[in-house]
Amino acid sequence: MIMKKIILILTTLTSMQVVAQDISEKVSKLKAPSSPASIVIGNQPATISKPKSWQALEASLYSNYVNQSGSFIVPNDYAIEFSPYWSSKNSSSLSIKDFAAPSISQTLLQNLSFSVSSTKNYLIKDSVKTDALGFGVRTMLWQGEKKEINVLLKNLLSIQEKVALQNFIDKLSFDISEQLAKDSVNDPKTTANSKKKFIKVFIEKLQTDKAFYSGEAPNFFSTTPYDKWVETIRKGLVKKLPVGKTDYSDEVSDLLDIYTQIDKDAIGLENMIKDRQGFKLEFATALALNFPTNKTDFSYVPKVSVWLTPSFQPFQNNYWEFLGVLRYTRLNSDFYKNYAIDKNYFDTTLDYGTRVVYKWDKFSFELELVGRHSKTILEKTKDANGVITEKSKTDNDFQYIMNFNYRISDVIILSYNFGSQFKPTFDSSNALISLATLNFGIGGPKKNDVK
Amino acid sequence: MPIYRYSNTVSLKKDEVATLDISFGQAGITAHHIIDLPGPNDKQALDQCTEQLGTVDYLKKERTLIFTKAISINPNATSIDIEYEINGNSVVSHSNLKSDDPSPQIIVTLVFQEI
Repeated sequence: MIMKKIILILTTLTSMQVVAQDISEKVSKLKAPSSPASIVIGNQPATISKPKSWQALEASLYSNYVNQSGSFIVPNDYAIEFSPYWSSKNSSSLSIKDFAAPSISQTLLQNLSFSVSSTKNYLIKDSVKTDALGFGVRTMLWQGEKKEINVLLKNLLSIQEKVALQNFIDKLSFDISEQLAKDSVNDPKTTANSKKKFIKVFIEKLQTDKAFYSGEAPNFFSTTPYDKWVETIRKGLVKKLPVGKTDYSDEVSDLLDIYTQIDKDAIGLENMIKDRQGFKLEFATALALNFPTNKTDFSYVPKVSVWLTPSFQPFQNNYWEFLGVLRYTRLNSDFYKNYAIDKNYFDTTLDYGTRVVYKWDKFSFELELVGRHSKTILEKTKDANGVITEKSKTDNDFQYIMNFNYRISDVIILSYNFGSQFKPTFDSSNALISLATLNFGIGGPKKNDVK
Repeated sequence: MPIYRYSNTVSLKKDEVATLDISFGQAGITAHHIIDLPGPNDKQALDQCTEQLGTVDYLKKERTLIFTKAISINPNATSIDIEYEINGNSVVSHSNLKSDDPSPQIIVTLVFQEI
């Protein structure tokens, strides 16, 4: 009976998935924009093209923005993002330390990216679809904390020590293999006993030169006793080396990768570099360019936005995450008077908010609070004494969203959203959110995909 | 993965000093090099480096071996590219996919001869 109830609840919740997908797009999460150019024109491209070189950028721009007759065109739902630093040849000369823990100026340069997005569905009054382009810039102004950088550099040093250790031991096995090959020319019986002989000479050398080899990787051998490690290698060689060969350097090289766990360490460091913790401050700005008559000789800049996104994840603490956002948008009143659907607009809006995430085992809780201050200057006068008087209309709004997630399995997440969104322009009764969803990690369909 | 092995012959004029340049194709690679020169004068180098190897008179006595162990910590890189040059001329271009081998061991054998 209980099982039947559970199945009934799950089935009901699953049927809400399609609706939930549509609504959750509106309940956009507070975060730094990944493609400001797309956001400023409300474009949601399926993929963002990211050319890795200037030549690839040129090819992408030419193939998407120029038609066969050589004229400029606006492609639909297309977005491109380009990072000049990583596309320059000089980036490969960056030192490994500057790569792993860049300075403030390096952080700014390395994260600088330019984006362009385009759509043919930018709606203006009378629901007319027009061409629009978005241009954006983003970068990271600050990332990481001292404690994290110290751990990062320590892990890098540990990997560099293992790299040197392996290189020396690989050379040792190469030298012994060469000697075995020479011996087998003079005495063919050597080949038959080569495995035994190789292991004997190799292990003896590692034991004799313990001070040298252990000195190459002090961090590794501070937690792994050298003699025990050599014994593990010996057992591995006995098990893995084939008989009847004289060159065992390939097998030894493979075994060393396993016994130093160097690849695992490198992945760990890559993840640290990819997802830096501590305090981060991201900056982004974008402007929209609209062609109301769908002709490129007549255009407006309807909107300019600037984002400043500070975030903080305590280092080596995966329970808490804090994020704030400051988003300033300026609208072009000439454009909105003449072409916009929404006549109840404000010249400027300032969104300010925060998101707090708490994760514990299978459970996570998110709370997002965002305030919005909107203002339009209706009249500005200057009297004879030079005193400026301003007449304006303002509006303040507030949005809060709470989100509870419970991971039932690796691919199924039970989610509940509750809160209130900013007042929609046309239907203010539609601001409340109360939504339970069951998300399957198999890429659920969108509402429009279901025919 | 097996060791990546390369060999090449380098021709130099009499008394010309050979200078080895090792450079990377991407940022985020760290490497250790052992340069096994004729006699007991082996050298070690780290990452991208420039090393003077000596004159051809000295180098032609025996082959020169370069052992390189490299690893990439660049989350955006898909390959590991390493270029070996002698006096500005490429002698070996190594490239492997990170998915095939994230920490390649490379052995370059160079034989020097006088023009």
